[in-house]
Amino acid sequence: MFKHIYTYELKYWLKKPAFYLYAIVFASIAFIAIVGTAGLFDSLPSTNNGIERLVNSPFELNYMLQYFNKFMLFLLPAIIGATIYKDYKNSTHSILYSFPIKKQAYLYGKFLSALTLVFTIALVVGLVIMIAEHIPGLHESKIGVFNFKGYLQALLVFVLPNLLFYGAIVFSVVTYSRNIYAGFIVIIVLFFLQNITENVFSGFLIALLDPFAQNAVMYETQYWTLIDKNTKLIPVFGTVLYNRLFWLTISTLIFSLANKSFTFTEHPIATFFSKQKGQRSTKYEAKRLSDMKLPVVTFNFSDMQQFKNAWSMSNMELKSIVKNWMFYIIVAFGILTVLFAVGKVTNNSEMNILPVTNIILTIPALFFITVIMLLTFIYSGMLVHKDSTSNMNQLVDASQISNFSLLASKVIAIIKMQALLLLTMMLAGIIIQVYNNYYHFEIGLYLFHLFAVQFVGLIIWAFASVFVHSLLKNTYLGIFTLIIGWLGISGLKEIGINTRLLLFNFSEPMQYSDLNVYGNLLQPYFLVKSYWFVFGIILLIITYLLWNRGVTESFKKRISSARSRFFKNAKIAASLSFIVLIVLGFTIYKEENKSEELSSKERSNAFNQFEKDFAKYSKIKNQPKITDMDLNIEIFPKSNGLSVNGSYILVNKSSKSIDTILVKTGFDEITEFTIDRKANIVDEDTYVKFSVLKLNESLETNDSIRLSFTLKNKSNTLFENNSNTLNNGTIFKNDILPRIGYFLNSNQKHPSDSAAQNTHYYSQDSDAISLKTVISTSNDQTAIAPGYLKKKWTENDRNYFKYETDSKIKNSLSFSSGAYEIKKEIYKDIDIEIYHHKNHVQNLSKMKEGLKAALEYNIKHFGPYQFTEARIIEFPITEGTYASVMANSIPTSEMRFIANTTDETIDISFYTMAHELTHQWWANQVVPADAFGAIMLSESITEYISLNIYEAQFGREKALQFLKMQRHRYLNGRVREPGIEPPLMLVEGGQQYLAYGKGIMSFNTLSHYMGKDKLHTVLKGFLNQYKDKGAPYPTSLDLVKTIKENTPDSLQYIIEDYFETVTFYDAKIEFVRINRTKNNDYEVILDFQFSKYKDSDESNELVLSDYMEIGFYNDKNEMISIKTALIKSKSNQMKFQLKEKPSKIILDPNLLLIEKDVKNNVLNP
Amino acid sequence: MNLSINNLAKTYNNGTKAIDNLDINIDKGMFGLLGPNGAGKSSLMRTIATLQAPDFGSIQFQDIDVLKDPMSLRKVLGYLPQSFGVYQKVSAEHLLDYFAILKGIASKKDRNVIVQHVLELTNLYDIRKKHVSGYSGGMKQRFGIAQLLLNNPKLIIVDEPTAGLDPAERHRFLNVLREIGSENTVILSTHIVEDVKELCTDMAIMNNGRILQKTIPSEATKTIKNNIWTTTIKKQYLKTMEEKHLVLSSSYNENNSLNIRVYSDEKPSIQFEMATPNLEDVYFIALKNS
Repeated sequence: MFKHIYTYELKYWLKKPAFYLYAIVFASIAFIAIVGTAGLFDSLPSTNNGIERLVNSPFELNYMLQYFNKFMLFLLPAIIGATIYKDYKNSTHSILYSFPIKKQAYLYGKFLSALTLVFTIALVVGLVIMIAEHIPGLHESKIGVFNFKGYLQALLVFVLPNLLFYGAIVFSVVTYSRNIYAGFIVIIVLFFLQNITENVFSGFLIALLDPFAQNAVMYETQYWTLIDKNTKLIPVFGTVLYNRLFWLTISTLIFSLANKSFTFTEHPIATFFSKQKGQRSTKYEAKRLSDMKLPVVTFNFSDMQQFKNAWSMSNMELKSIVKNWMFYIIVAFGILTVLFAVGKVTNNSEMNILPVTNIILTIPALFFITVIMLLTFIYSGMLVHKDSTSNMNQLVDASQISNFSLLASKVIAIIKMQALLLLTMMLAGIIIQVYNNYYHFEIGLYLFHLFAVQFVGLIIWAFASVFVHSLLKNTYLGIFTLIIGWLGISGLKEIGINTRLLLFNFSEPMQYSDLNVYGNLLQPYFLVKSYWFVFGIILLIITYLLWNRGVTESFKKRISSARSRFFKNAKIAASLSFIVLIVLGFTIYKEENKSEELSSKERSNAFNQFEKDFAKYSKIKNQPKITDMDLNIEIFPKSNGLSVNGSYILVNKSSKSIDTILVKTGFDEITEFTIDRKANIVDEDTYVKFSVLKLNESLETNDSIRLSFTLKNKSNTLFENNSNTLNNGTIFKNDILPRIGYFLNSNQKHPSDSAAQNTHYYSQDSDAISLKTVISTSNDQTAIAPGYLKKKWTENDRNYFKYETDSKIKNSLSFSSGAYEIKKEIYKDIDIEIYHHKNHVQNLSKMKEGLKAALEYNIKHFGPYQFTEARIIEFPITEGTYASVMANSIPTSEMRFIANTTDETIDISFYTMAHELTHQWWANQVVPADAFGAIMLSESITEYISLNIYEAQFGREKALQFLKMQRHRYLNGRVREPGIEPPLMLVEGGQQYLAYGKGIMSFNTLSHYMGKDKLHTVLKGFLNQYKDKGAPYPTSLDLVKTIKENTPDSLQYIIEDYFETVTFYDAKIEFVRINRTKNNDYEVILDFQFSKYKDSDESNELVLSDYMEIGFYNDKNEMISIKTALIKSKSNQMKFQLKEKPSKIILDPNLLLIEKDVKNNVLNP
Repeated sequence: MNLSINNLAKTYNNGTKAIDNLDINIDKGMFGLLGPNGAGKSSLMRTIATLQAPDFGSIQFQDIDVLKDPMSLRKVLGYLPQSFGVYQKVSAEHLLDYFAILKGIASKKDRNVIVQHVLELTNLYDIRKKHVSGYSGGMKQRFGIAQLLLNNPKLIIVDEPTAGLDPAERHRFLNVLREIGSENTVILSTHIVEDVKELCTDMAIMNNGRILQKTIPSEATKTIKNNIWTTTIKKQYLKTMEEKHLVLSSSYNENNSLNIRVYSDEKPSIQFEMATPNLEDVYFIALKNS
């Protein structure tokens, strides 16, 4: 019996085109993805790159197949679910179930045949990838040795088991509920489940609970280097196996439950909420026939009434959606994801931020909108086919309702559903805000973002969904097509289709900023959306013309009946829409072609070519330095325009004459420059904007020339803002101005390289400069440049500001313009000013406290502040999330103004400002040389001083918390290090985990043992030695040398372990005994282990003569005593005399050791 | 109130000739379309009800060209298909209101009045709040009539409405039909002769997509007044009888013998007695002759 059912089902599906369609769709996507990532569509990569990530390594194959697998899961309801559902749909079951079929044969026959089909598709995909990696034309560097085991592993451990597990669940649920859509819901729920586990759990639990085992693989391979990823097989006998077993158990459980409860009955098994009380229905006798005359009613068939009908009918359709429990399950999961996403974005790794409306409207809203889209796909199918599914179509179709009303009622119902869900999203957002004690409700923003910005996109999808479903008789094929289409749009971008005219309903997510609102993104957004909206209308007109009325007709018949419907209104609407579509399309086309933007491929080609052709100039190191700058900047916020004219004085500070000057001008700007000395441009790259000037008469030592320039932004198009000017909150830096020297490969020198000390880390073309700026902006904005405001006036309805520096500053400049509120305070004769958005007041006083504390601390320990002003200037979140010190300004991201410092964690606002201001000493007074280790001098010291300021302000406990966070930052950061972790004193620019995390620990430990005052004195001496001196600039080696000279022999090991090498400690409490002594004291005998080792050689334990602190605490968690022990061996037993009985002992309570595992440092005797 | 069908034909993709160059004229009153299963009755009904396009031919109702202007016909059409379903979990009252919208009754008040009226008329008023999907067969058929009445139709097509109804329900149902048939054109397709006999003023017998005979029930029996003969035989002789005579029908007696009815101009043999002709005889004669 089983065999018959099995083969019958197989034959049934093999006859259907849908099966082949599914296979072809997946196979072709896989093929394109593989050859695409293997570089078939790209130019050749530049040769000097290091190791490439291989496309066909087991790791990558697995990644790719797991990714495909997730989308293949949508086949499960479409095939495995459908295979049993079709018996219910066609009511075959009422006959079939009376046959003498064995239940097991029926269920297993159906399930296994469908599973065979799904497996076949998966295997076809695997096969296609196998073929794809062998086709010619791929980049050899991206293709490794063919590894069959990789395929085998990915398929046998992940892909096929996933299909089996979730196929079983889908089959069970569809069998139990007799509802195919429930199958789709299962898949969506699984996706949510993955998302939720990722947000709720951590580490091993995520790995275990991830339904698709992607996190299990990540967990097992988290410490893999690129070489590992290119060569190793994924270890499957650990976490992966547990994960597979876990989900095997779950699916088996569900399958056997469904299997057990399955009976051959006409009606589905009642669920607890669908079962209604049994009622006896009594037959009653016919009443006397009443008067046959029907009451007189008016019939209305006007066009207007057709609209009204559609509206009222849509309510009925909407009810059928929202009366369904599946709808609520998805919505509930959607809200949960929003909740977790809000949690995730407001507690990100950088900082905690307030749940402000525009943050809720980013990723969390995007999640929910994706849910709305999936529901649109599903329910538009249900509505389009509702009449025929319920077999009521003959009644409806024979009524005089127009096709227009029928179609419109379904479209409107879907749109109403979307609106309802958007409202739900808004309420969920507000509730989350209330829950987080955030009460600044921006209802207007919610409404605008959800109901204007997002709604259009959803409505266009509603049009498309109704269109697709009305073409395809099979609802699940329709849903599947839509999902693939939706995912495929971003795929089109991948293969190089970039025009908005072809990327259906596609738009990049828009980040809203309180300062800059949507920038200039709204106009192009709505232009593109109206184009697709009209396109959607045309789809609907086609849908209308092809609308099937009465008996289902062949497609040919539908086309011919469409012709007969195509007159009057339809014709007018179609031609109108078509004209509007052409007009909008042409506008988009014109705007897109205005900008001469190269594609990313062409761009990288241009840069590769530049590197080849101009590398020879990198040898020209001797260049004049900028000493004076004169700038005249005009900012036009409304038109996003920027123009600058200015001049530099360049001085030859070297002892050799200079005859070649290298000038790099702003990449996005149009710059013209001249020098006041005869010179020829001998070489030039007009795309990269690099010119080589040969002076007729060379520039001798201490001689100077003037470079004058004008620059303006490339003209803006609707889609591209080519200037740095924003409507509000403009910020740009000196990188748009002309720079001198070969600009690639800077910051690459070893500190022992003597050339490194000639230039500083921040700009190679100047030491310190004097700057005069006249900056103007619109009449409602304030413009800010480095230096002090000398004059301010209004001319031609524009605001002008003149800024000048009193002392020389580093050539790291920022310029701002915006409509700010300003908060001012004078502290120790220093003007403190905060330029901020009017709503962003939550953190102002904390920021000010941070500045003041830093001023106080640094002036006291390291000497005077070099400015009389400290300005914090807010810039939009779209421009970055950082804060950075630039002369006497600290441009600070909007994100930091919405920091959430109410909870018990680190006061990020205070800390950020303390940190940035401390840089005025450590980065601006002492300017590190252009070499590795530079940011140890700037960031590590600054972070260490910030810790001290923090401790002075908030106390020891808080400072320890801060330190703990930094240790975490270091340990977490180092595992993501793509290369080899260098010692602290050779830290590179991008290695923030090292400069901040390890840097602060190193200086703190050193300071702890050698004495804070002593270290401060050493640092102050170092500062005074290099302060405002220009070249030669100090390197990290210079500082380490100075510190070494001032450190007693017993502590020299700290410098070696923390600064000069990558060393780890491990301390572990083993045993403790407490004895009462005669004089009522306590004797504590402590057994513990202690070791240290180099990261490069973990097995080799180093010789010890190290200090460690041991803290003793009473039952109120108060410290009784802290002892410092000198440790010389691995196993130790020590005795301590205490006045009080300890109930907790902690090794290294002050977090002085760099330990990977601190869990075993604590013991409660 | 005249429906005229000319030269109508429909062949399905699988080659079945469902309607074969059919001509018929139907006047006001109850019209019974009698035919066995698969005769093409439902295809014809659907085609008249604008749900299926014929290959060629024409259908005219009063001054409406049905094939060219289906919407105009739908305004005066009431159609009850052979089988139909309804949306899940919707009460009769709500569903009728929905149908009232579909049928162009714009005002909510009007809809309420007429829905209540048809509910009472079809005796569904007491169970109007129950889900139609849970109705019994008879109740559902009455609901079908209720929805059909909403637009006060002039042309009513009911396709095998009594199939599967118990005698009481069938009786009730036919009563309702009779009432509405008096003023309009009602086409009742059925394979149950009784239905036609009890109800129809006009009738036609259809098979293989063609009209075999169009007649008036009372007249039809008159024409075969002296041609129907009956006798009782043992069942093993049925075959010989069928070879010798035109046997119209046979029915078992309690003792397992058979009563047969035979069509013949003269008395076939001595054992036969003349019988009063009935409509069933007319039906079977038409089928046997085709």
